[in-house]
Amino acid sequence: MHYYVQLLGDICVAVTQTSGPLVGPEFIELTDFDPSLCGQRHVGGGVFEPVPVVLPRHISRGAFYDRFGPAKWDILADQTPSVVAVVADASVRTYIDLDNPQLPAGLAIIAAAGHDIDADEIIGAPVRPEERP
Amino acid sequence: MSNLLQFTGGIKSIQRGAITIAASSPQQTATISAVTLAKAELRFLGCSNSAGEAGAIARIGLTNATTITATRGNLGGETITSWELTEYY
Repeated sequence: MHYYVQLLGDICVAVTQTSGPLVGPEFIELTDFDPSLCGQRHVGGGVFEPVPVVLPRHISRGAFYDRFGPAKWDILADQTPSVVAVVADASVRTYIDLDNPQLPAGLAIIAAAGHDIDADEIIGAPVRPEERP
Repeated sequence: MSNLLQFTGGIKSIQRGAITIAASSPQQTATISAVTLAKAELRFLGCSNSAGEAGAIARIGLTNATTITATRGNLGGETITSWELTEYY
């Protein structure tokens, strides 16, 4: 049996136990089958180190509306055309990207319509597991 | 005895592995020792996702004699899929 790490760049994308040898610059042979190397970075000499997984700052539409706090109901009921447009834009998205550069402008429209929201908190608060889409 | 196994479809080889699909990526392949597709059986052994997103599980397939491909629709987090491949005579 042969055991290999398969690299894409310097990241281990697969660990395989094979019935025959594999040849190629993307393969590093191991002495054992070690799937814990999946996702780790090869730093040279058969040495691997973990790579932090950076998750996208995406939340569900419902979680986004919940971030408005007590003002949520007034915002959703507001028939001001600009507020309706912001709510409609959010409602058609699969998820809300908190790093979308258009988001601050949308929140500014809601604040300008007189709603008491903390735009910095809405955008900057850490994503909780229950908020993920 | 070994000749009898060859004629009755005994196991020729077993390969196994784990494939990592990076966050935001839909697909990743793993290279294997060549098998005869008509005599090979691929099994799905499980899947995990770093973001805990149940929808980000992957499906796997034997794309060709030397490639297994893991594919997913939900691109959240990093997904690791385990597989096992048996080739028969």
